[in-house]
Formats: sequence, C-alpha cells, structure tokens
Amino acid sequence: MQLKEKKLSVGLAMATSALLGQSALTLAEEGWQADTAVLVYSEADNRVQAIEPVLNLRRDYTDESSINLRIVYDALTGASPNGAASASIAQTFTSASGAARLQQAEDDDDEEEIEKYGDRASYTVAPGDIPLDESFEDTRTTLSAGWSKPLDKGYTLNLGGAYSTEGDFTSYSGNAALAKELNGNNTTLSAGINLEFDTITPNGGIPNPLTPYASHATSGTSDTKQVVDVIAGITQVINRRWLMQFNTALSQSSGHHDDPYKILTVADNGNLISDPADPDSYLYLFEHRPEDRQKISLYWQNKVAIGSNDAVDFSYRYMTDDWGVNSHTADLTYHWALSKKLYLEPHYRYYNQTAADFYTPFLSTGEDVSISGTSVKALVNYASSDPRLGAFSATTLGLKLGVALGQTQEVNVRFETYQQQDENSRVDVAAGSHLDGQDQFAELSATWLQLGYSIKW
Amino acid sequence: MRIALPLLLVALVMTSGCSTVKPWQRDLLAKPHMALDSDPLQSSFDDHIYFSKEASSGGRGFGGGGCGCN
Amino acid sequence: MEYELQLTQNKDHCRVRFPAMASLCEILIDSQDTQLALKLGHLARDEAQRIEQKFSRYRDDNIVAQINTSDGKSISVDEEMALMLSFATTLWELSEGRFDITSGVLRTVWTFDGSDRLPTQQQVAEVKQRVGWEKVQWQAPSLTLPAGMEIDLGGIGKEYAVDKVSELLNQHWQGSVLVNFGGDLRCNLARQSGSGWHVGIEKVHADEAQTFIELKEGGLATSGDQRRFLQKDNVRYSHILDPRTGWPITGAPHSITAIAPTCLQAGMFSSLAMLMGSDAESFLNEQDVRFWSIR
Repeated sequence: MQLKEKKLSVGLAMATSALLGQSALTLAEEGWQADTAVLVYSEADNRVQAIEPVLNLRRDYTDESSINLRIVYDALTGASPNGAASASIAQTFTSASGAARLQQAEDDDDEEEIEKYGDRASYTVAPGDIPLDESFEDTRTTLSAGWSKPLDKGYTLNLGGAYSTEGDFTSYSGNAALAKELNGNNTTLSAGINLEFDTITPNGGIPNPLTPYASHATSGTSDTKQVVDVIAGITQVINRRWLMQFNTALSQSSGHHDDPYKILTVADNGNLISDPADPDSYLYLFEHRPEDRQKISLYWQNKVAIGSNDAVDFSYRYMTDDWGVNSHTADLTYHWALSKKLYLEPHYRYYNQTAADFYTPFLSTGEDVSISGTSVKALVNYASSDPRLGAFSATTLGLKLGVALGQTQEVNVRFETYQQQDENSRVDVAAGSHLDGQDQFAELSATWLQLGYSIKW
Repeated sequence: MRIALPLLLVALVMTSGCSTVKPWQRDLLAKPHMALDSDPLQSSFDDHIYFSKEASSGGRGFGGGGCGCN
Repeated sequence: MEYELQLTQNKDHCRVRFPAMASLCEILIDSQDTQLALKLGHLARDEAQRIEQKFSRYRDDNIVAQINTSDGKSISVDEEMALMLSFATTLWELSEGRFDITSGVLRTVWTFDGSDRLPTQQQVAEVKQRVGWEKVQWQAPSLTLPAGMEIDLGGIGKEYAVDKVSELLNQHWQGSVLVNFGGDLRCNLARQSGSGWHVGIEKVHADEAQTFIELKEGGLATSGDQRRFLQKDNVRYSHILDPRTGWPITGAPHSITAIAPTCLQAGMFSSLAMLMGSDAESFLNEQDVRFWSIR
C-alpha cells in the first residue's frame, strides 16, 4: 500500500500547475538541449563576407545546475579598408596577408596557390575608391564552456572559459560570477569578472607604429594584450508582466591595441606625397593606438509581457572610454506570437558613437608629420583612421520568424540589415588636391541571415 | 547628466509599488521569450558583429572569448 | 431563499456570498472598499458558476452530459476539459487506481443513508464492470468512454473552481482575498496587517472545541464522512468507495483536512489520504503534508 514517497508530491504539484496553467510550480527538469545555427554575413561593395556555424550543447540537472559547451567556426573572406584615404589618383599597396600567403605557397611549392595569390601580394586601387585590401581571408575557431551551480542561501555561482584561435590571433579567457536572489526571487544581485589574454602574431611581423608603410620596419613577431572586465548588476521583477535589468561594467585593456594592417595617408595640403625612402610609393604611416584603454558602460534592459503571449524587449546602453569615444545604443524588439507555434520578431536598433580623440581620416605634413630629407617623424602620439573609431550613427532593422516543431524543437530564420552614416566633421583640404571632394569615411552597409535549429531531450 | 535620467528612473520604479510577485504569478515571466537573453546564439552573433564594426561592446554580460577583429 | 449575491462590510474586511456548487460560496476581501468587493464578488460568482455549469454531472446540457450519454462514441473536448482529463489521468496513475473519475456509477448500488442496507456481492460485481479509467481511451482532444460508463468530476471540480477564482481575482486586485467554497479554501497572500485569515476546522461532534488555524497563503481542503456513512455490525462504511474493489474504504478517519500550496493539491491530498483508510495519517506524514485528522 506504499505510494512512492516524494514522487507523488512532485507529480501532484506538476499536474496541478499544468491544470492551472502555471509553469512556476514545477521543479527543474533534467535534460539536454542542442542549439545550432549558421550565420551568413555580407557587406556591400564586396567587402567582408562571412559564414559562421555554431553548435551549443547544454545539460541541465535537477539541482538546477547546468553545463554549457559551445563551438564556433568562422570563415571570412573579402575586402577590408586598409586605412588609407580615398584619392583622385590610383594608389598601389602591398598586402601583408597576401604576401604571407604567397610566401607560404612558394615554401610549399604549391602551384595552384601561387597562381591564386600571385597577383595579390600587391594591389592597385582606382581613383575615387576607398582603398580595400582584398586578400583578406581568415578562419577562426572558438571553444567555450560554462558551468552554473546554485549554492545555499539563494546564491548561484557561474564559471566559464573560452579559447579562440585564428590565423594571426589567439585568445584565452576565464570568467566567474556570483548572483544572489532576494525578495522571494524577485530581485537578483550579481557581480562578475572576466580576464582575457590575447596574443597577436601578424603576417609580416609587428610594424613599428607611425613609421612608413613602404619600409615596413618591424619589432618582433608577436605582442600581447590583457583585458579585465568587471560587471555588477541588478535584475528586478517589477510586476507580473515586467522584468528589468541594470548593469554597470568597467573594462581595462592593456597592451597592444594597434591594428597591424592599418595605415594612414600622409598628405601635403591634400596631395599625396612620395615616401622619401621609396619614391615609387606614396607615404603612409602605420597607425598607433594607446597602450591602455578604460571603458565604462551602463546597460538597462526591460522585458514587458503584452497580452498573454507577446512581449516587448527594450534596452539602452551608454558607453564612455578614455579614448574619447562615447556611444549610445537603443534596441527594441517585439515578440509577436502569431499562434502557439509561430512567432515573428521585428527588431530595430539605433547606435551612435563619437570619434576617438586620435581618430583622423588622414595625416597632414606640418601639423601631424614632419619630413626633413629622408627622415619622417610623427608629431602626434597616436593616430588611426580605422572607421570603427570614427564618429557615425547606425541603424539596424531586422525580422525573425520562429516555428515550433512539436514540444521540443524549434526552427528559426532571421534577417537583419545594417547601415552606417558618417557623422565626422569634414577635414578641409585645398581645392583641386588629390583628397579634395573624396569620401573621408567608409560608411558600412551589411546584411546578415541566420538559420537556427534547437532540440531538447 | 545623461546617465542621471536612466538611474533616476530605475530608482523611482524600484521604490514605488513593486509588488512582490508570488511563484504562481510567474506564469508570464516564466515563458521562454520573456528571458532576458531568450536566444543566446543570436545575441552571440550580433555581439560579435557589432564588436567588429563599432567601438563599443558588451553590457549584458560576458562574451565567450575574444577575437582579432577589433 | 434564492439570492444572487450578498455583500457585507465588516470592521476590517468585506465579504461577498453567492450560491454555487450546491454550497455556500464566499470570498473575504482584505479591504473596506465595497465597490471593490462588489466587483470581485461578481467576477468570483461568474467564474464559479461558469465552472459549475461546465463540469457538473447534474446538468444535461454540458460537455459532461455529452460524454456520459455518448454510448461508446468518441467525443472531442476543448482545452480546459482536456487539461481536466489529463489531470484526472495523472491522479489515477499516481494513486495506483484509487482515484478514478469513472467510479461515480458505484453510487447506484451504494446509498449512504446511515442505515445498514449494504448491496450484495452480485450487485457490486455488476456495477464494477462499468468502472475503471483503464477502460477509457483518452488522447487529447478525443475521449472515448465505453457504453454504460460515466465520468464524475465532483472530486476535482470544487477545488479547481477555488483555485481558478483565486487566480482570477489576483489578476484584478493585488490584495489578500480568501476564497471559500463550502470549506475548500485558497488564500493568495497575507493580509495587510501581516497576519492571515482565521479559519475554523469543521467539528465532527458538536461538543468539541473549535480548532482555528491561520491561513496566510495556500489552499485548504477537507475530505470526510461526517454526514454520509453506513454502519453494520459495528463496522462503519464511509462513503468513500475504492474503485478497484467496488467496496468502501474501511478504517478511514472521520475526516482529513490538509493544507498545500493550492486548493487542488490540498483536496487531492485529503482525498488520497481517506482512500488509504487506516494508513491515512502515515501517508500524509510521508508526503510531508500539514494536516488534521479526526478519528
């Protein structure tokens, strides 16, 4: 006459919550979940194209702990701005990546590869075009793992680590976070830290910053960077429909920040000038960024349930750093449940950032650079024309469609389009010079498509 | 000053009438699409794209590894 | 006297009463606001009556009547009925067959009028053919009941109504409300003063002292035989029948009152305990349920 003890209470609790339509009375379920997705990314004007498949595996246990494993593979090709300014005359550059691949092909005695890269070691950019290095090709693999475990008294511990490797860059990171539930689980306080250690080994070696491109003087083959991020946050259930989160994060990055492949045009009154050490080339200098960067960001997110099946997600982030960049990001998504199995999520994001203090579309002789005879000396400490550090605003519009297949599977497809808009103040140049009337910022347009599938068992 | 407004808003909301939500009132909040990060793979893709094209990053939490793209 | 709704304003709470489920139904609201009480009272009454009309076996115009006259044909049910039937199935499995919504037909041979008239073995054996959830085909949304069988949701309906009404009122007002449908209770949260509602447990013998408990949050339900039993040769046959044998449970307490997070759970624990007969108390102790037993 013995009914199985605990199982009956649990079974009754679950049956009751199913009947009354609440999911809150159930215990944590044990099980696996696999999520896989592929992202296809494409920039306008034959710039970067990428394809990125991901596999994520998660195991939940009855004590509410879980482990998570993720593997990401990223293959990029296409062209990327090399930082030189667009001019009214043709410009020729030697590509470090191209040269490296040609060297590799010659070492391997691989005729097919030599053929392929043969003419990519150097490239010519037509007048009026933004200089793009076309031989950009890279693959990246990332492995990450995480573990979450509830402890006594409402605490939860999270530990994780990641390893990422690509042709010229390796990154190791580890993170830990602690969260505490209060107020009957209506408030959660959390704090965490992330440590990252990166090594960069650029093709062609580490260029000496603010030295001429044609000479390609280097110091060493690799350099490093360390990043420490700390974050503290609070999540609060405002009422039955509204969940809010507020996070503050601090980031300190030290080490090598220069992009080894990016240069800046040196102009004399708006005209390109030849490199004193190599009269066949124009003068460009390798960029240089400070060795330290400190960022502070404030993030606020809201999730509000609308009706019984829809929801609005609205977030805002403010970021400021000691490179002079301030940014605002506003993000809005609406989850529209069309039926029990189908949903649509239209999405809108608005972003804007100010330029870094040392951002400039090109350098000018006299103010930024002084040339005497064959000696070229930078008068500024730091300079970069990387569009990522310029002033711009950007709008993203997207739409996602999700379809539930039974109780345990879902398929989704998402399409987004991104458009940047130049907000830099124009640098005046002499009328009729090479840089006169040229674009000073490469506005990026990109679209991406995501296909995803997930299954639980 | 620009930070003050969101902070003030949050403080006001939190002190005035946040009802304590009972476990059996969590029906709506427990739905999967109401999770703060309802599709981690999607957030991961987008975070990586924006990290490589813009000067800002993060906010939500920690990413899964650095990349050479910024 | 047939009335529709009765509102009383007391010193620190309001009470609304209305007839439903063949019981006295009332809601106690932790507020002095009569407008609010009236509004909540109407909501509660309408929902209670909706549930009664839908699930009562005494009507001939609802889904239960349709099922009970289906004569072996498949009936397609709506989502709420589907959830109800799935709940009944789970309870039947968890109780190893003791809780069975097809056992209602046993009342045709058992009349609990305090007398000593028991049915014969033959009579019980015959009616038992028409009892047993294992004979039913249930695959949402389609239910097929063999001819002659009937379902009776009396063991679930009142507690379900209490929980549904409690949750409905909570959506309209965030304060404390006690829902009481004939002794089956549910309270959503503690009163503004921090204390709960004082509830009296029903006495078996008039000369006993009244037991009071304070209900702050959760459900309370009672299963008992106070008024309906048979007695022969000094053996008391409670009106709770074991569907597996067709005979009443012996050795059961007079009544069990249980407390649980919801009224449904409280009701199921008290019913299952009664079905365990003499093991009622040890069963509830094993399940870690707070209860009172009267023997």
